Amino acid sequence: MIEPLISIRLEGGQRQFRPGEQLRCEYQLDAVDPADVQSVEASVLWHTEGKGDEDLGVHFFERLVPSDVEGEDLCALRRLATVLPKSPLTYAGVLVKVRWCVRIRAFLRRGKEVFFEQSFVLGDVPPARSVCAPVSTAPERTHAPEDQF
Amino acid sequence: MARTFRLWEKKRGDRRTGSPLVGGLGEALFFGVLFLLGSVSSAYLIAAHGLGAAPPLRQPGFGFWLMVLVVVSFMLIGGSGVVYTVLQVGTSAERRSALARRAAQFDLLSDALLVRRAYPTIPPDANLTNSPGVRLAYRLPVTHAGPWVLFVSTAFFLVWNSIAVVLGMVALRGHLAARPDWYLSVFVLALAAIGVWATYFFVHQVLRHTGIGPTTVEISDHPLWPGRTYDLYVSQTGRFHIRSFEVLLVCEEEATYRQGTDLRTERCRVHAQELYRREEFRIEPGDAFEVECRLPVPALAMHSLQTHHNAVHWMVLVRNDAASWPLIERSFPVVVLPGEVAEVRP
Amino acid sequence: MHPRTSSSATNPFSTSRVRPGRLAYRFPAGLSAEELTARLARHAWRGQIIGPHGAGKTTLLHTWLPTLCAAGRRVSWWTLHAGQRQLPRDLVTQAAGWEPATLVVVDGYEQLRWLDRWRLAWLCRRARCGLVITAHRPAGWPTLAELSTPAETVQGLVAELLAGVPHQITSADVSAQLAVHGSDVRELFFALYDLYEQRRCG
Repeated sequence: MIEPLISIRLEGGQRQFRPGEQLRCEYQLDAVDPADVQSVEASVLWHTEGKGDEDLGVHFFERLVPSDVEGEDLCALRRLATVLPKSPLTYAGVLVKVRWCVRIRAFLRRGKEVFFEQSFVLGDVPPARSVCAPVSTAPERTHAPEDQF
Repeated sequence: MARTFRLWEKKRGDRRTGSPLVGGLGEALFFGVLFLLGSVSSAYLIAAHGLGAAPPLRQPGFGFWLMVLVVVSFMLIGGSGVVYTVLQVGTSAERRSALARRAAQFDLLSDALLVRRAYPTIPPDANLTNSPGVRLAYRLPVTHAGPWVLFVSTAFFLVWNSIAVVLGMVALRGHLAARPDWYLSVFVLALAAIGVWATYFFVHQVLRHTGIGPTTVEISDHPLWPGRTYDLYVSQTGRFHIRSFEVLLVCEEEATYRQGTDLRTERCRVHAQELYRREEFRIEPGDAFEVECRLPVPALAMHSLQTHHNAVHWMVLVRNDAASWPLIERSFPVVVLPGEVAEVRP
Repeated sequence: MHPRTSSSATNPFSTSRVRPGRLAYRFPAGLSAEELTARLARHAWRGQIIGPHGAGKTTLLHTWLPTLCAAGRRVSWWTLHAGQRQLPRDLVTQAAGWEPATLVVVDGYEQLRWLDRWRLAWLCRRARCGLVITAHRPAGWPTLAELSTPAETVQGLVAELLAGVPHQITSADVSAQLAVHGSDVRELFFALYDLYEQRRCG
């Protein structure tokens, strides 16, 4: 049996966004009979990865059932748009990583579900690396006890 | 003699006559004696009850529990007083007064609430900006476990040594009466050995808090924006020879992992930027070593982050390598906001 | 269920990849989820799984769970955290609804003090339901399995995690970490996480 396919396309192929910028995307289900799709959930979310337990925050969420859409076809091409928040920004740290994605989850008959994610970058924070020695900047004014008063 | 030692002193406005050091010593002595009284009494109560030779009042009953309540309250009041007095060493009355005056004029919460609503996952900075500085806008709070270590070591030192002294006297009385209890004597020797260590650790902690005085860090604005530069004022009091004194801007990641019975937290430093460094100088009692420097926040810095299990912390770290002291690091947390937002903010 | 994702820039030893439930437990020869279920049934649905820290007790429970459900057991799962000496209040409340088909699973049994261990046994006896516990040392229940993690199993797990990502961790690295951490696979994965990050950053 062929697995249902979910495709997500960010508008203009854009993969990097600024905080406060609008994200637009299209998604579509293929290789599945529309009558088998009970509901579809679309979300824009961030989640953490790394050495700690995962945290997750949903910024945008939409659940559709057949009666919500024209022709009761949840497989048809659909669009979503949302203004991205100011934080958290995408971050590739050492212990902590923050990732953003658009996630589409389809609930099929007989309790089956399938989902697909399209990641994108929010902000422009460079990857971090572990440091031992401090980066030096020039020392400034000093008032040692002997130069006071 | 009257000039050297006065039974009472005058209060003139915010000032007081007399030496603050002598006053502090007097306070510490008073609370220490109170704590000692409570500790010795409780040790005596326990020892007398354990040895089965307690007079009627000290046998379990209303009177016994009343006495326990009294001696425990002595211990609590005395212990807290000692720790508070030690922590106040090096903080002038003028400074406390200035802080109180400026705090009254300050709008504490509006900025903090704004930040919390507008920036998800960024920790609020209300606790960082509710203390106004004397030189600059805000005095940053310090994060270290010092007072608790001092409190626990003081309590342990006094309670343990009180028990050792009371049991030692009981053992000594047996020896003097030619009825030595060797089991008790050996037990007292073991108690005394631990007591010596407890005394050493307590003295070390007291010297650490009084010798290496408080570190104060003030900043010109808060929260911080990437790409901007801030003024920083650092003050260090105490009495020691400094081998090196450093002020750093540090970023650390923190991750907590919980699975079954396993709970672990790991930290990793991902940014350490030296803001100031000086080597080989002395700080004399009564003087403060003061530094004014600039704090440039990297333009592409990751913002502060706080989720359930993960965090990115920014802090000003003051590293103090003094002769005859262990390396002391005191950290002062700050909040860094996302960079791209800073560009659109007026 | 693993997501199908367009991003693969993940440390393969991230918690999200190695936590129990994500990686299937690799049963040693002669042991399987079905065999464990049969052993448990022979002991009137009471038993213990013993193994040192990080040996895969929780992972085994996750892998075993579907088979237990298929065998008609209604699983009531409780995880006890460090320092949790008493039975969770919810467990005691829910115990009133336990039936003979219920299988109570307590992960981290050694945390409980003796009084609460006795109370748990009494609650299970009263409901005539089953009980499976995990512990570091035998706790007086029939032993279903004593876990250890052979080096070959660890190498296999690491190879599974590294599938599809740039191979920056070699089997020699895994052997070196095994020498340090022994059979504690959880610690070994943490060490490999750090090693991967070091090499990723160059």
